[in-house]
Amino acid sequence: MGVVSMLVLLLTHPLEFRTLVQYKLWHDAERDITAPEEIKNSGWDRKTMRRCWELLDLTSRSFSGVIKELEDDLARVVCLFYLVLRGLDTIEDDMTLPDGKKQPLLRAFHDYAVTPDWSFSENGPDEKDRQLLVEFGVVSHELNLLNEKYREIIIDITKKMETGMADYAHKAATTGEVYLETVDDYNLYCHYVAGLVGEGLTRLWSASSKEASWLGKQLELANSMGIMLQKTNIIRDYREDTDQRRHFWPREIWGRELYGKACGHPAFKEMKEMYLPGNEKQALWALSGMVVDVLGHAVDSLDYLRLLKNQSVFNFCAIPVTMAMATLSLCFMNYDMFQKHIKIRKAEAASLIMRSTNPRDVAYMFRDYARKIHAKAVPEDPSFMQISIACGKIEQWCEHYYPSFVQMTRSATGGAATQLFDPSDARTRIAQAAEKRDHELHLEKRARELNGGAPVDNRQRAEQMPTSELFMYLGAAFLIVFGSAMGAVWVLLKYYGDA
Amino acid sequence: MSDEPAPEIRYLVLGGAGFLGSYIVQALISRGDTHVAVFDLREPAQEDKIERVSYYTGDICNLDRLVDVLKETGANVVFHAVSPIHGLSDSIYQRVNVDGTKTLLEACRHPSLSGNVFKFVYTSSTGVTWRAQDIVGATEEQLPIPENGYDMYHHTKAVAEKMVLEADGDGMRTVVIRPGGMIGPRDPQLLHRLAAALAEKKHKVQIGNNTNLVDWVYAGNVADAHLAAADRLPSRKDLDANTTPHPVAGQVFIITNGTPMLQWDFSRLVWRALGASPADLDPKKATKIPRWLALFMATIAESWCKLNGGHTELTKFNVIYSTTTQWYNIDKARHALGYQPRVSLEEAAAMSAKWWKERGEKEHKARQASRRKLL
Repeated sequence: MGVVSMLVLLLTHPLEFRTLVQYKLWHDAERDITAPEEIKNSGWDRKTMRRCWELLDLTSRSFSGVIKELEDDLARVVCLFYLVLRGLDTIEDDMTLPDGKKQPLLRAFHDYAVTPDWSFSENGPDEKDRQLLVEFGVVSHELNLLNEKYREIIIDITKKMETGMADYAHKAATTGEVYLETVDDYNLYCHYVAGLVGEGLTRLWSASSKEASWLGKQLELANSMGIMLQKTNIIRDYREDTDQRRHFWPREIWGRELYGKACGHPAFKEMKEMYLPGNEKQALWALSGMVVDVLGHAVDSLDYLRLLKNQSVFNFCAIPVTMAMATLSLCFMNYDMFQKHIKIRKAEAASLIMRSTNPRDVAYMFRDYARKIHAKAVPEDPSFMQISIACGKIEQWCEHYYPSFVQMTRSATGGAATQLFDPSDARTRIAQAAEKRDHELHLEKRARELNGGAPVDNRQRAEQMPTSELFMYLGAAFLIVFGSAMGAVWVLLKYYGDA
Repeated sequence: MSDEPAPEIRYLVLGGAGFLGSYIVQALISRGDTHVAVFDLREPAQEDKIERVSYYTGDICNLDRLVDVLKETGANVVFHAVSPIHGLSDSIYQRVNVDGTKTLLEACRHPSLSGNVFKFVYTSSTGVTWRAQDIVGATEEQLPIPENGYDMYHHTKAVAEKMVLEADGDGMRTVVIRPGGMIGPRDPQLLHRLAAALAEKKHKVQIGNNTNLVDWVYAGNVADAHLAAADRLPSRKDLDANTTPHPVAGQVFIITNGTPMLQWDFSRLVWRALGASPADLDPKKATKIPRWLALFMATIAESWCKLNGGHTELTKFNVIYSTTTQWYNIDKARHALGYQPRVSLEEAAAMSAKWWKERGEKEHKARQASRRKLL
C-alpha cells in the first residue's frame, strides 16, 4: 500500500488505519527462505528450487505468503504441491484446448508431474499461468528430489483430481451442458478441485509428524473445509465467472421455483439473468440459498481446526477459513456482488490474519460473522429459517467447546490461569462438584503417597488382575468360607446333636 | 430408529386424542403395531381418528374406569401424555397432573391386572426446571428441579414427574420425556398464540433484542423419542434383574430438535407463513421494546385484568419466556435412546403452516367465537 493511500485511509477510516499500522508493526516478519540456516528446508541453494519459489510468487497472490510460513520443510513440500495443482488447473481452465487434446493430457498429468524435463507450451496465449507449464521441468525435478512419503501423497491426490477434472471437462465438451445441475454435482465438483486439496494437505501434515498420524485418515472434515473455501470463492466470483461463461453455481439452487415465486417471477433459466435489472430480489434469494449451503460446512471447519496442534499449520488453515467467513458475510444480501468484483477490506483481512491463531478466537470470529449474516437476513427470504438455524449451529458449537459460563483469569503476577464459573448458570453446579471431586481425589492420592509409598490405587490394580487369577482367588475364598462353615456345622452336630 | 416391536405388545396412549398423543398413536400405527388404544377425555374429531385404533373416553382421576380400560385393552405399555395446556386455572393442573398421574400409577399396579403393565412412559416438559433464567446448552443433570416450580403448571408437572420416577421398579419400569416447545400440525397453542398476536398487529413489535437462542421440536420427533424410550425399557423377563442404574429406566430425557433458533426469527417465520406482509416483519423496522419496559407494562396489564377481569397476552411469563435463552444439550437422548431428530424444523414449520391454512385457522376462529360468547 502506497504512502498516499495510507494517508487517505487515515482520514477516511482511522480505525482501519490503526489496524494496518498494528499489522505492519507487530505481525512477525515473513520468514526468510533464503537465509543460510533455512537452506536445508527451503532448498534455496538449488537453482531449480529457487525458480519454483519464484513461480509460486508468480502464480499465487494470496497463498505464497502463508505457504512460506509453514514450519521446516513443509513450506517446500506444500509449495511443490501447489505448483503441481496449479499446473493441472491451467490445463483444465484453458478453453482453447480441444477436448481430444485435453483428455489425455489431464489423465496422465500425475505421470508428467514426475517426468524429468516435461514441459507444455501449447496453452492459449491468454492463460495467465502458462509460463509455469513452459518451465515445468523445474517442478518435476524438485518433486523427484522430495522424500518419497511426501511425493506419494502429492501424486495420489493429483491422480484423483485430474480424473475428476477430466470427467467434468469431458461432460461439458460432449453434452454442451454448461451448468452443474444438482447440489450433489456441485459438491462432487468442489470435492475434486478443493476437497482433495484439504485431504492432501492433511495427509502431508501427518506425514511430516507435525500433526498426529491419525489426522491423515480423518479426511471427512478436511474435505468439508476445502469445499467451504471453494464454495465461498465460487459465490464471490459470480460476475467474473458468468462473464467468462463459466458456471459453477448449481441450477438446483439458483433455478429454484421457490425464489421466483417469492418475487412473482418464473424460476431463472440462465445464470446471467441474476444480474439483469428487475431481478434483484430473486437474485438475492438465490444468493442466500448458496450462502446457507456453505454455512453447512462452517462447524466442520471449526472441528478440523480444533484437531491441529502445530501453530504454523493452524495459521495456514485458519486464515483462509476466517477470510471465507468474512467474504460470506460481505456477499450475503449484497447486490453489488452481481455487478462487480467485491472483496473484504485490507484492514479487515489484516485483523483476521492477526487473530487467526487459536481455535477459540477463530470460533468467536465465526460467531461474529454469523451474527452479522443473521443481522442482514430478512424473514421475506425463503432461506430465512435455514440461515437462522445455520447461524444457531455456530453459536451452539462455540458454547459447546468454549462455554460462556467459564471465565479464564490470570493473576496480576502472571501465575497459573484459574477458572471462574458464572454462579447464575445451570452448568456451574455440576462443574463445581466435578472440580471438588477432582480436588478430593488429588488430596487422597497425595495422602497415600506420603503414607510411605503405599500403593497409589488398589482398585486399579484389582481391575487389572487377569480373570483366571481372580477366579482362583474367589474360588479359594469360597472354599475357605464353605469349609469353615461346614466345620462349624460338624462341631455343632458333634457336641449338641445328641441333645 | 425403533427396534422391531414384539407383536404381542399392547399399547395404551393416555391423551392420545391430544396434540402429542396423536403423534405417538400415529407413530405406533405407522411402524406396524396392531394393538393400540387411546384413553382421553373425549374422542377426537372423526377426521382425526386413526384407523385400527380403539378409542376410550374417561376421566384420568377415575380409578375404576382406568382399571377397566387397562383390563379391556390388555395394555403392557402405557404412555401418559395427558396434560392441560399452559395458562389455565391452578386447580386444573393440581387435579390432572398430580391427582391424575397418581391415580393412573395406582391403576397400572392394580392387583386385578396381575402386573400386566410393565412399561410406563411419562410426557413431562422442559419447563419443570425452568426458573426464568437463561439455559445455555445444559444437560438433564445440570438442571435441578426447583423446590417450587415457576408456576402451577410447571410445579405440578414436576411433582408428577417425581412420582413417576419413584414408581420405577417392582414389576413396572418408568421413564420421563421432557420435550421442548413443540410445533407441528394440530398444535393447539403456539400457532394460535402467534395467530392471535398477528390479528392484533402485535407482530411489528419485538420485546428484547432478539439475541436469545431457543430450542423447538417437531411433535413427531418427540413421538419417536417416546417409542424409542418404551422399546429400550427392560423387557418383562429382566425387569428387575438390573440393579445398577439402567440407561433408560428411571431416567429423564430432554428432547428437542437440536437446532436452536433466535426467538423472534421463529415467530416471524410463522407469521410470514400465516400471511403477514414481509415489510411488517423486517427486523430493522420492528418497534423494539426493551425487556425491562415490557416487564413493567406486563405487571400493570396483569393487575388490571385481575381487578377488572379480562384476558391479556402481555403477561410477565410471556415477556420473560420470549426473552430468555433456552436451549439444551440432548446428547443423553442421542446416546441412550438412539434419538435423532427425523424431521427438521424447516419441514415442521412448512407442514404446520399448511395445516393452519387448511384447518387450523377455521378452528381458531371457531374457538375465538365461542370465547366471545362466553364473555
